[in-house]
Amino acid sequence: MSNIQAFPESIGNFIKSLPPEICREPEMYVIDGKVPLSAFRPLHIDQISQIIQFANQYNFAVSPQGSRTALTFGRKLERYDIALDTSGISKLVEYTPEDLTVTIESGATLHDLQAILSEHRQYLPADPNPSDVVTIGGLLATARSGAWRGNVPSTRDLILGMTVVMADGSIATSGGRVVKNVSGFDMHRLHTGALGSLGIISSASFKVLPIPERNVSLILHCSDIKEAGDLAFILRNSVLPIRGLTILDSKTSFKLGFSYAPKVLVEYVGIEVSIHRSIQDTEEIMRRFGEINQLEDSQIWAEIRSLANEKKEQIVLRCGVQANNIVEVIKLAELTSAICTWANLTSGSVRVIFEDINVVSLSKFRSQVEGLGGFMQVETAPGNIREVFDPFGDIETDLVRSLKYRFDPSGILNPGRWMVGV
Amino acid sequence: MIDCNSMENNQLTALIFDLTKKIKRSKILDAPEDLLVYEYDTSIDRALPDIVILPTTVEEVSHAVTVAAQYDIPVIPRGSGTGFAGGALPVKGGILIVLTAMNKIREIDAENRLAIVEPGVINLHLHEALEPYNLIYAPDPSSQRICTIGGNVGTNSGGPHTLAYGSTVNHILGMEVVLPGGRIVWLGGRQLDTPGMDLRGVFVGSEGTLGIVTAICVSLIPVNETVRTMLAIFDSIDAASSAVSAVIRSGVIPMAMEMMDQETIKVVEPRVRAGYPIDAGAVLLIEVEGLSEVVEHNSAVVVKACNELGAREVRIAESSLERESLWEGRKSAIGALGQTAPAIYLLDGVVPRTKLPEILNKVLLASHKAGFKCANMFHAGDGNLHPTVLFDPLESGATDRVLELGGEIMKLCVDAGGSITGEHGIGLEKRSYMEWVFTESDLAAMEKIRFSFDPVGNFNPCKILPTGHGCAQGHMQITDQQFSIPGVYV
Repeated sequence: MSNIQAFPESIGNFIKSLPPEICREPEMYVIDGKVPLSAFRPLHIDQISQIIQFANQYNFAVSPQGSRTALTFGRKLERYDIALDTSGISKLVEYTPEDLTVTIESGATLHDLQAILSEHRQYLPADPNPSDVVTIGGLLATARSGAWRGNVPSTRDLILGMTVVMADGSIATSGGRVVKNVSGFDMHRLHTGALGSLGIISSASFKVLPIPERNVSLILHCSDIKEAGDLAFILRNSVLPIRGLTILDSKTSFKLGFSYAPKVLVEYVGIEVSIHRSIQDTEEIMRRFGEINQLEDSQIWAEIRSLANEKKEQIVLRCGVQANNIVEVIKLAELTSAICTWANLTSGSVRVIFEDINVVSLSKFRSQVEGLGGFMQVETAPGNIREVFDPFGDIETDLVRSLKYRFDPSGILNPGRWMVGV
Repeated sequence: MIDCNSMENNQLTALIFDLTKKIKRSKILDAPEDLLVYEYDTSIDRALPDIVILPTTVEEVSHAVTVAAQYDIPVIPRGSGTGFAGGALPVKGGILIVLTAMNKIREIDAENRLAIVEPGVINLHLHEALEPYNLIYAPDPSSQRICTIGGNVGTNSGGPHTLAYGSTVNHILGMEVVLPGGRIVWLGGRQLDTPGMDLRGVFVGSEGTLGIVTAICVSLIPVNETVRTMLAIFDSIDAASSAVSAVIRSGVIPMAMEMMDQETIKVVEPRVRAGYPIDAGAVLLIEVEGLSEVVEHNSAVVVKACNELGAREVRIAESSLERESLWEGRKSAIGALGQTAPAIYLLDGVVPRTKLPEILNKVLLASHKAGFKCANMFHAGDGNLHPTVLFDPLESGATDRVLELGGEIMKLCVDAGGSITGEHGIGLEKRSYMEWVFTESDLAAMEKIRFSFDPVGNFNPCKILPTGHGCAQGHMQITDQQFSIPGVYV
């Protein structure tokens, strides 16, 4: 423990009351350049509760973090006193393969969960960036998704229940562990995507799915972005078992080791006969377009996921538009200094990466996307940009303030992430 | 009537005067004979509203909500009144906002696979409207011929195809909502995962306690290439339940797996002529969809699993007519059961699928012990039970005993690690059971959600949360006198 004397006395005394193994070096938990006063890695939910109670009593701001892959989601923290590392809370609580349900603590990584499920040929269909290194708590708190979103049920669709440590240290559960349940308010849906500002997720229950027997990824070469859009639409409107359908702009295509021209990347899943049929049908469609290559493995999807976290200082935008405006957004991005742009057609999601961009250009891009009826959210950006440029855009604020006021009246959980004071 | 507001005449006159500033008088009902129509839904309880409004625009809804706030009286939204849990009962009186006149499908955007509908659109009407586009709106509650999309949002409805597609919440992109206080907002939008907190997600299933939905953007999915419906016939409910688990174990997730027991088959078949064998112990209605090659493969897996578990026969619907007939039997089951007794009491509970045989036996035992016939037709793939108790409310004490039995069955579900409702909601009827599932701390957290949206607590009061959580009124005791007119509560 570094320099207890320099802490406020309350923290010093609190640390002394804790088992030494849960106290961590604060320097390991820097967010936006700020070192917290103290850091803890609890090993039990009751210890989270104890830490939060303490923080609430003395009005210390707490920032929960798992694998630390999404610390720049949202605005810069207004206060940051205590880092709460959830990675020590990682036990499997219950898994009944026959019921297709699993309950796991929030600090377990998605990789850990998939490993457990794969023993029974099951999985949670989540493919967030940057990889399966994300914790279950982080996956839920940020509601990240990837190419599978919209094609197969997502985390938001499959969450069954959740246990949360509230801002006063009390422990609250919603939902349950059965696959169908409408009892009470679905608090777990509220915490999914709430960026840890309403409570600390300590465990979650999901419905899981069988791992498809086979999968195949095809890369389809296009002459321009319009053709890529047309082709992706044709595939989406087919009856083929698509799990991923992504349009890559020329720069992204090149970065991933292909030619400097737009591509459509598609993944089919299912049994042998459906894979065979999917390849056949796609080849038939491609006669009107261009070259088609079957990839040896699915590695390319992992490479795409990691693009968003490739460099620390880069700016990553998530745009959402209706499917018929996807190509327009890619074209708009091509007019900027973007280094990569790719889009998932079914979910209407376009990710754009910049090495550098000024706030004026960001504002212009946002208004262009909004002009197409969409939205633009900053997912990753250096603190100086998020300080002056609202990462979320036009969102409902009154209800969010009202929820924050009731869930966290002292404002100790990730204060300022959403808006001033929230 | 249960603890209604019973507004004074002069107060009522003033209220109507204020409402008519923006709502036509013809859309406001206050005559006793008109109000009577709205004193019940499909649950056992009854309660009279002080006023009923049939708005056609969001502005009218907002005005009614604003006026209600000025008068500090409850506001209760209602669709077709098909809820089984008393969610649409105005137990403290107030303004009942009936949304059935807001029944336009405003937009079908096939290219972007979405539709915007008003809350009063009947679920089946949307399905029919989508047929030319080869698209479907997945949620299909058994009451889809009469229930509204707004009501489906209120209770996060399910239906047979929830097994593959999930409940209503998975198919709602966004909603226009009138909040308590009258403010109109959009939660979510026309795209998935709009920025901001997922207020859409928490609103769906909130049973009208957080606001009134006035437009809904639903996501649509393409019709599959092939659909195959099968009827697996078993000698016992145990064997049928085991077959359900065997199918799931095989790695095939059918679109639907519905079970009907002997009691249900005996009632449904003579009335609907669906083709169910009258002497079967139980039947499973199983549907697989997808590419024709996949359907071929998956049906073979299903047939094998059923045969291995002792199916007497697995019939495959050879035509769309036969398929529709098989489904007609399932979706008409409640109506058919309703014709066999003066009243029925339909329950909704969920258990882990692997515990189905055990709990079903316990349900039948409990019903037998209580002296009632109990029929079971339910969403077996989801473990979502619907025990249906047949009874005569005019028989002294029968209603109380039925409610007691209902509680006992819900307790069985809870003790098995399940839930007290899978798709009907908590409403009024089950709020006292909430404490069996949730701790005081859980309920306190839920209360925070409720009061964040509705700090005064006038939106659909006394629903979802038990006594002491936003409602001072205790659990209502039903008396036999309420059943002076025998009825079938379906």
